[in-house]
Amino acid sequence: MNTKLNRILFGAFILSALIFSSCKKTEQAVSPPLPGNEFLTTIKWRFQNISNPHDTCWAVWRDSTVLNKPYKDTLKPIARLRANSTYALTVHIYDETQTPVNDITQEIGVQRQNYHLYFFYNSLGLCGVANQDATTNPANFKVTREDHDSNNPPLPIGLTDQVTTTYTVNGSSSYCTGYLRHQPNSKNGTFAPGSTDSQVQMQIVIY
Amino acid sequence: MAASFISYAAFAQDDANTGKAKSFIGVTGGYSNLMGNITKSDYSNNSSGYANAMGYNIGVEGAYYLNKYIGIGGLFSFASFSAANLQTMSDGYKQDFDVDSISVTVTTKYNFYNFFVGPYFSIPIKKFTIDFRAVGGLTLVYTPEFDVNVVDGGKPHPFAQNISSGTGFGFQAGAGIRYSITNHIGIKLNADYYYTDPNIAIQNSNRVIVAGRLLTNYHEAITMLNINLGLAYQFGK
Repeated sequence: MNTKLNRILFGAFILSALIFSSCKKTEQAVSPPLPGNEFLTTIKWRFQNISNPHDTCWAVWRDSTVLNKPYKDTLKPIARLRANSTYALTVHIYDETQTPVNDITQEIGVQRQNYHLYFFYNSLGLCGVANQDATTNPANFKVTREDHDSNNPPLPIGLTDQVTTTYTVNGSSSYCTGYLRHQPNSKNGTFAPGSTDSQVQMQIVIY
Repeated sequence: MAASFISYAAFAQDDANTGKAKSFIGVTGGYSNLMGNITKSDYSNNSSGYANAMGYNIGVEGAYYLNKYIGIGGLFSFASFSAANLQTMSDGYKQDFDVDSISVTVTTKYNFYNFFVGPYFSIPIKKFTIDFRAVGGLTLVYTPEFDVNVVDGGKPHPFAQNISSGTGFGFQAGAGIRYSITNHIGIKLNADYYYTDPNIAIQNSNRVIVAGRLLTNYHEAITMLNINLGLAYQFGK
């Protein structure tokens, strides 16, 4: 009797141990895209001559596909810069679908600096080489990024820069394209990882 | 599930030949209720462990009695808890990385391995015995792997908080009552308070940038309440 009871109880324990050990459950949570995300409707480049602070200009690009208002002054975003000069360049980013207008520059440049990087690519008409990274020592319109994030090691952000001009250019083929790259868990200083949040083309006149 | 609470333990009934309580060996198992910061799910608080408070434990225990009441015993036990409330973690990472979507997946568990020894004190009353014990020793804790998939612009940027382990001192103290079914077999019910404070070096993989919740060390007091049924084989006549 005792032996039979022992066997039953021991068998029950083995069975329960198997149930416990086989109970492997996957836990998962998903955060899907949310509607009504913010728009980067407006990009402004502000140039200020290092030698002459009064020599300041803005090139302003607006996304006409999102904004219904007419912005005649920015249909052709143009920056007029002096040759053989150095300018402080700051990039400003806004969402003008909001009222009041939402300035996203700080958000991207401070809170989200570790996974954003702004790139400048020069046209053939601007520097003599097509689609040249403006930070890699082009013949004209050289950009040096001056702001850095808190990654380890720090990587550039690109919203605060210095631009050096060399020779005069004019015309619609002389332009610089700005890309705001969003590189979550992948920013490494290069263009490749991530996706483009904003792409704008500014005509550059150097006289 | 009722079967899962049955365990094999033995009891300290008085051995008529020696005058000592009967030494025993057996198995035990039951419900574990985890407590402390490890069960919290506050994304911004790195002491949060995202562990489910409800889990189970199983173990093997034995004791050698020096006289009618006092013995020295040992316990090897295993306790396991799944992860829980991962939505706050997923939402937090989504906010911190400003991306289209995030998924957090956990396929492993918090596992505790305990190697305890300590005194047993038993009071036999006919077929019933009231037991008290306080055992302590080494605890080995494993954390689960949290796989985070960051998706933006249709591109995945995954990273993980890997399975990590740490050791620490732990102890368990409690009381129980047991009933002798036969001369050698008995069942018992125990309630124990458990404490440990392991120092766990958290391993992470593919964390390319400094953003979002990141744990590199987890050093928090962990407590639990174990309610077990046991089944034992006792030695002697």
